Amino acid sequence: MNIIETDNLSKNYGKNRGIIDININVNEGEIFGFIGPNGAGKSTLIRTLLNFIYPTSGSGKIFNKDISRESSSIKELVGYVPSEVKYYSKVYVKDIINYTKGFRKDYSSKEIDSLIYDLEIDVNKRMNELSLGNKKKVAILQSLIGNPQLLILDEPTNGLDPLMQKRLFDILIKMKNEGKTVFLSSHNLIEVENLCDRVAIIKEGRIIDTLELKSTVIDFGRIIELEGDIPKDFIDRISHKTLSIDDNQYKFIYKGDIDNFIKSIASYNIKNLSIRKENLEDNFIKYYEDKEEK
Amino acid sequence: MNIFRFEIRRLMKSCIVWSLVCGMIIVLFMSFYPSMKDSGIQELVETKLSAFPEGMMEAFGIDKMVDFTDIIQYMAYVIQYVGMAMAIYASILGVTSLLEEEAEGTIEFLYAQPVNRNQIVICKIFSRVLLLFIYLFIIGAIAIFVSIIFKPEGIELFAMVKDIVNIFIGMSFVGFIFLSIGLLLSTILSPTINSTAISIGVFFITYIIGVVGKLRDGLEPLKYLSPFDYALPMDLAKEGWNSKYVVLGFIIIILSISGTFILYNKKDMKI
Repeated sequence: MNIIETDNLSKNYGKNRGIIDININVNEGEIFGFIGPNGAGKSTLIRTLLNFIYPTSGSGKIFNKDISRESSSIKELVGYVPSEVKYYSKVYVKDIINYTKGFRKDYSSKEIDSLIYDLEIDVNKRMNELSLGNKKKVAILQSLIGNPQLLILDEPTNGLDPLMQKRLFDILIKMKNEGKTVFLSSHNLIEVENLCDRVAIIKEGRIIDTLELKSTVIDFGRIIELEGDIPKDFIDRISHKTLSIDDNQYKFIYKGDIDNFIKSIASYNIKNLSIRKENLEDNFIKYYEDKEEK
Repeated sequence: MNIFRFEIRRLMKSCIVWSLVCGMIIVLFMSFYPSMKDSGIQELVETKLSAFPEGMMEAFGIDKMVDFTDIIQYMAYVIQYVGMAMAIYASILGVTSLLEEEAEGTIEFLYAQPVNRNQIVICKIFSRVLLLFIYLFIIGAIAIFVSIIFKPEGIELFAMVKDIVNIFIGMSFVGFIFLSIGLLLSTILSPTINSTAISIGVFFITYIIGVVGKLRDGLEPLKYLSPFDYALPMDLAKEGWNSKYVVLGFIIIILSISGTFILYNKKDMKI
């Protein structure tokens, strides 16, 4: 079942480009990542999905309900963590929690208390006394009140320390295991790679690719950096893609069997060798380099 | 209902502060009343005032010569100035109602909850109406209390209270007009604008337009653009309600509130 689906969803407002012809399908029970540079349209898409802004053209559905006309009933099942948390500055955290409870039907005070404990939230502070990371933790907590079936997070790890990031990931994985769906935008490619089932890459308002991260469909190679007396034609023959060549220093993507590779270079005089797995970041950077080449 | 309660709790403190400050102004001015009555000051004031050009008197809302020895007229004169503060407060309540949520980014919390835009507008309106009522109730109670203290002999208590209540009904009417204009503005204005400055501006611009309307022959229709003049305490104390202003006031309230619902439902939130 598609939890989120959009059909050529576009938003063009004022000078900002917004988003253009976005088509995404987020399946039930998956963690779907959404990555792109600043200003690519990530927040615009999220705000359109949540009806903060209206689409210029196209349409979108969440839980098979129209994002513009049925937003209120959609939100009964959705939790949202904004990128920048700007809650009522003079209000106490405990009052924010109570305010959220007032909007939600299906919540357990015991679970909320347990989240307050896990996320180490001081409920007796006012919002304006909290650091960026602590505000984010309050936003995460409030998004989870009411047993949401879909969680939308806009750059959720901004400001969180590594321990809290891990706790957040644990929460998201638990949600996924319960069959709930997570839609998150992020700059942190490693977290997206480790967490998400699929990721869409947005550039200049358009989705330029959607990658299946948890399947074997995506064939990440290895990034090899090699220095030594090696003929260039040997590198050209074995590499999937040459990234750089500079005075007997080679950097290339290798996609074959690593054992064969090691054996094939054994007869050369090697000064330096580093091998690492190609990751999402390499691919992500590639998309932007492609843009610059154009 | 949840939004309503939250708003009341959040804004009650400033409401009480506004009420007490305005209430203190009434107490302060009314404490001069006995000396107004006793020392023949009326004669003095009348002499001085009659030296002013008529237009100027009209601009300051004292064209209908005030009898400072009459407690109701004196009270109406005092409340005229407190009424300006009330109009600004009502305007602030209106302008900040929806705009503040966008300006401070809190709309990202509120509208992520299962509420629709109409519910937000309704709760904002009702919470503001209640706050304005609380404000008017407090200063009204203070006004009645001090006038009972300073009540001259021979004035019937019930009639005096009735007149003061009538003045406060007029104040409420003007307050709700400014509140509804503020509400409409809060759907139109950019969140980057200083909403308090706009609120004060709304009052003074309409007030000055009204003054110009009163001063210049041929520009008389301009006075209809000044809601503050729709129920001037002095007019109510001396002449009662003007039906033209009442109808106009209700039209402004209805149009502004309808416009608020329509525009807020269509707008893109600026976060």
